[in-house]
Amino acid sequence: MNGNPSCNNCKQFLLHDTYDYLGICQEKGELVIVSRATCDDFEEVRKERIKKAIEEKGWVHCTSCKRPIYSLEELEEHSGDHISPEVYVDEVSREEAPCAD
Amino acid sequence: MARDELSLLLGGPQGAGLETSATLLTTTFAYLGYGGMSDREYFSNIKGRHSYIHSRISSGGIPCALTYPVQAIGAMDAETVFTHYNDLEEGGYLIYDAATSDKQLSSIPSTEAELMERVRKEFSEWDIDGTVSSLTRHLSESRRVRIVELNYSAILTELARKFTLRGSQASRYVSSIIVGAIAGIVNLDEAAARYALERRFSGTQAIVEQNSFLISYVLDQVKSKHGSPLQLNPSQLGRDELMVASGNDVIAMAKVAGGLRYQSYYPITPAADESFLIEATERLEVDGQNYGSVVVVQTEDEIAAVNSAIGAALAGARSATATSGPGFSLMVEGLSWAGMNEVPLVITYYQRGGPSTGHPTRGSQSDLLFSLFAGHGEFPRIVLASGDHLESFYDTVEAFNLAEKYQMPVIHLVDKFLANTIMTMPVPDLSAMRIERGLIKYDAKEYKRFNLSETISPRAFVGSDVVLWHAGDEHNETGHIDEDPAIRVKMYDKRMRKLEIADLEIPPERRAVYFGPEDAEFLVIGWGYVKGVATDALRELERRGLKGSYLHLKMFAPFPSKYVRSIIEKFDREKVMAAEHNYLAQAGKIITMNTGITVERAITKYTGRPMYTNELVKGIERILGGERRVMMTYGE
Repeated sequence: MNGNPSCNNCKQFLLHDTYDYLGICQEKGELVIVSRATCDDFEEVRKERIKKAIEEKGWVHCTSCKRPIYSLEELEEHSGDHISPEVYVDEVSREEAPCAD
Repeated sequence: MARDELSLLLGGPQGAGLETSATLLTTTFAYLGYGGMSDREYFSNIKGRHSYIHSRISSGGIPCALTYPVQAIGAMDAETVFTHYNDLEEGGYLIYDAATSDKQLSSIPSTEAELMERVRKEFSEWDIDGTVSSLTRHLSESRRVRIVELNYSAILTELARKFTLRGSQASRYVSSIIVGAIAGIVNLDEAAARYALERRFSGTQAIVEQNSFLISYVLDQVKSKHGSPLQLNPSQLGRDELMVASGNDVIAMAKVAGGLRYQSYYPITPAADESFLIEATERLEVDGQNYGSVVVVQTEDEIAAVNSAIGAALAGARSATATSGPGFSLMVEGLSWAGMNEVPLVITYYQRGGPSTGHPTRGSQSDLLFSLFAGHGEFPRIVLASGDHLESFYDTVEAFNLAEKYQMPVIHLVDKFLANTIMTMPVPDLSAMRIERGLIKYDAKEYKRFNLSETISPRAFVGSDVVLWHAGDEHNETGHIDEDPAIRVKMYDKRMRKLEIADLEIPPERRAVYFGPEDAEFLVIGWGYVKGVATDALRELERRGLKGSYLHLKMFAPFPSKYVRSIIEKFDREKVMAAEHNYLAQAGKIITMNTGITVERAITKYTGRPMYTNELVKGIERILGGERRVMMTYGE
């Protein structure tokens, strides 16, 4: 969360769980190709929202490390990383992931 | 100048479109009449970690093995670049996303620490800063690698300008960027790519149109800047009809064609895909006509899977289960029961790396000894192993015939490498296929299932008009428990003698095949997936003036002892070597057990990756140079 306005930092944005330049805009319901541009609906994800997500939901996602964060203490270890309160799972990813059990 | 052959590597995070890229390209090449094979290597965590598809395409025939280096790498992410840059030939093509240029190796959390260390060491020797851009610059300067840098997000932005994209299916689009780039470099016909899209996304025309645009857009970009330096010669295969299928698919089809009526399974890599396909075609309908059905049951575990398959076989169904090492371990007691009760059960055993959970998504040939000797007590079984896709089709049908003719379990070993490799292959010839059910009794008074007047007694079905008994204990002719020592000996002999009959009746050419000239100077012995690699390596060695041969072992029980001995005895002992994906050279041990001949030299590989032609050639040369044991390790 670096405060620079972009889709990445917008509360409407759900980042793809694999590609860090793709996501969904919940406001528009569209695939978003991340850029430095924003739209009029931009609303920054604030640290408070991240903390609230951990408290209420139990996890947030570090897209830099590609893994979940389960506590506020753990969150402190990810200073400088890109944290998202949610990610979206590509609905066709199950077709792309071979059985691996 | 066009070429006859091409090797490619596509890499990216699992679950993010790589499978679609590979399917589209394989189908495109097949549509154009080229022979191809593609192996899929992936981590066991299902999603997110690195996976890659390694392909070999030929205009002159159907490739039987993979080799390195590759002529082009298509990278969906930075990890692919860092993992595979040494797999690219000098002057090869590296396709990657410009957005990853500043990515540091150290910032990729999914890379194994050992790989990171190996790469870091090399970067340090080269004095580069560890970013993708520094690496590509180095490769370009020192190895003449041609860099094909594409801006994936700009490409998708262009797509989004023309179409409304489904946000929830992003990976559908990214996969086509790689396809378009390869299509440009190789000058693939866009109509063929469109055919592949329509097959892959049938029923979703919007996705077809979007991806068709994407492929075309990227193809034009790449061609305008780089041309099509990897164009293939027109196909010389001369076939009107080709199939594209994985090993799992082929075995699934063969089971249905071979009369399977019951399949049980518990999901396990790399076996489950076979059962999923049979399940998807449970009711076989062609042009509205119902041809029959297969009952497919996913059981609560492998113990239930094997026992229910036994039950189905006792009821008269052609019955099978499919599993891998950990699953087979659970099936062993059931196997023993099947052996005692002379049940015609087929177990398709897909080999993966062990022991224990081991290497769940990697290949190995380390379960041969296990498959031959698993099960408490002594009882006959047939164990066969397939060397390629077409062979596995016929072997699958044969497994059912053998099981029912000799009334014993048949274990059909299939390597993960074969199961997960997608191949172009000729359509199997069904005209020569036979369904042989052995001796069957449909009705009888005073029926004796284990009639001692015949070694193989006619089999009646549970639920038919015949009364019969089965128990896990030693039994008399009717199947009742009996511990008399005399009956014990008679029943024991009856069971074990069936394998002797099978040994006499199954011709040697269905159990081992010799490839090579009569005056070969050395002999490589192998089985399973090694067949393709060994025969390919021998062709390469012949070009270098070394004349060798390959003995392909197909059946391990009953073992073709006389035939194998007759072949090995023609060679000097130091010119005979086993080539296997295990530590012990297990097939070599089986040869010793059955013939008395010690196979003293071995080429082994147990990294979980398949043997490649380039390394087997070197391995054979080292053995011929005097080494007794060579361990191969190529591939990430």
